[in-house]
Amino acid sequence: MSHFWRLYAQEMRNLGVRYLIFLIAYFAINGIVYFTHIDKRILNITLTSSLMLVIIFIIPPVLLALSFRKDKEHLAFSLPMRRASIFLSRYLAAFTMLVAAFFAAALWSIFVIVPLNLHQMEQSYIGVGHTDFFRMIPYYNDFWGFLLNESHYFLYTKVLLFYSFVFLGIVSLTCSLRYMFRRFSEFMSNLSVLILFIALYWIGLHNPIPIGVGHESMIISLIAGLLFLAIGLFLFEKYGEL
Amino acid sequence: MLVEARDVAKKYPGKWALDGVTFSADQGKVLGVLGENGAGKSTLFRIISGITRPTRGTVAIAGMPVSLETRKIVAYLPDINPFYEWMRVMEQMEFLASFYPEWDMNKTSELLAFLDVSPNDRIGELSRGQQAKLKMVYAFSWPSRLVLMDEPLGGIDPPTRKKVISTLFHEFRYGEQGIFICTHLVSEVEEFIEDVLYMKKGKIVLSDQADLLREKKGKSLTGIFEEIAEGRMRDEG
Repeated sequence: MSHFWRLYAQEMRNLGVRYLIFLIAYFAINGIVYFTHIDKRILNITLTSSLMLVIIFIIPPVLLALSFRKDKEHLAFSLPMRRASIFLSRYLAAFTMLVAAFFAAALWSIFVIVPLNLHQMEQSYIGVGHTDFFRMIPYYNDFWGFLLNESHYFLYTKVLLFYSFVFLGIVSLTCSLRYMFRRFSEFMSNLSVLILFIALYWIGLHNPIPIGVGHESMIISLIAGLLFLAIGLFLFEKYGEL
Repeated sequence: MLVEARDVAKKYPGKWALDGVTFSADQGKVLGVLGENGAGKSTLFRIISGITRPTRGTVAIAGMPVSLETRKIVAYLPDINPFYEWMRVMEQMEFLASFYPEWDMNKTSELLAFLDVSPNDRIGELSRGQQAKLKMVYAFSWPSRLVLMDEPLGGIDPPTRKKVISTLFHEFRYGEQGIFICTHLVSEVEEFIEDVLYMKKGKIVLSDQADLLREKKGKSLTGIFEEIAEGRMRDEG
């Protein structure tokens, strides 16, 4: 195993496992709410899911920021490996968490949120609701037909993934700056993340590029996220020090 | 020549931590780098280890400029606990071993047993003394050419200190390896120091062979250290 994958494995063990436990716990709790409080489940699911879905997408960039601790880097920096390996292994660990969050949230949307909404609709129209995922599929011919029809729910998850990807890029850039400039403190780094993210959102709002669900905005997010990552990586490798 | 530093300087916002440091050190010797807090000793070690970049000047180790290649032959032990706190002792050692092809796991086990450090303990739960011992295991489980020890005895009790020092000088490969040691507890390691650098405010104020200095000044290294700290000695570097 190369140094890079060894570091990645360590990062995943340190941060990733905790996050995955958190993810599993979150969906398990939601599942319990869904299956045990049948009358209140719509309200519960709506309240907890919308807020918590956002949170699970915010946590990976936050964990990435936490993994860059200047006071604990002496060993990593003195080992015979490139700085880029340290940087990328951490980034990749956070990205893995993001992808895990995406798959979990997507499955949650498809299996729980969509059937729940249709169940609610049935109740309003005919007074009885008994829709679940497996009963619905035949009405849409197949699984993919079902997904296509209800893709807007899935899309919210996808949008969160792309926003989080940009967030991850910004965090990696500001972390690099902390290793370049001694006076660029953790507080300033966090503040910069917030300012950059809001500025990007504002630019998006005031430009023809649609912010939200279109393919264009996803491509722009992808490019922005990768650009921030590339700059961060370059600065860390070339100028990063303790 | 093991280490050659020329006009090394490091500027931090508002101050020069190192200012024009020039010295050379031979292989196989123990160099004591002595000075008060803020003298620039740690900064010098960090530059030699490659974790900090100098603002000016060059450092060469075994003829190579500080780079990825020199990090393959230098063991840097900072004054803090550098290990991953969430790892167990043996896991950490295995992780480190994977970076150095010549790491000897038998030696690691032997040193852990001698120093009474349990391989299954979590690093975050080790005392300062145990952490100091672990640094020794890291330093001597593989044949590094240079060991940089920044305050290896800081904050540990006398019996542990004794054990750390005995490991240090028992495992030191005389003639093959170099040790740079920076400590405030000069008297504890005085007998082992062969060459000495005294630093003050980022500059070398005195450097020579320890025996010659003792003879010339008529006092111990500790005495000379105190004299320099009190400002009674003029720049003789």
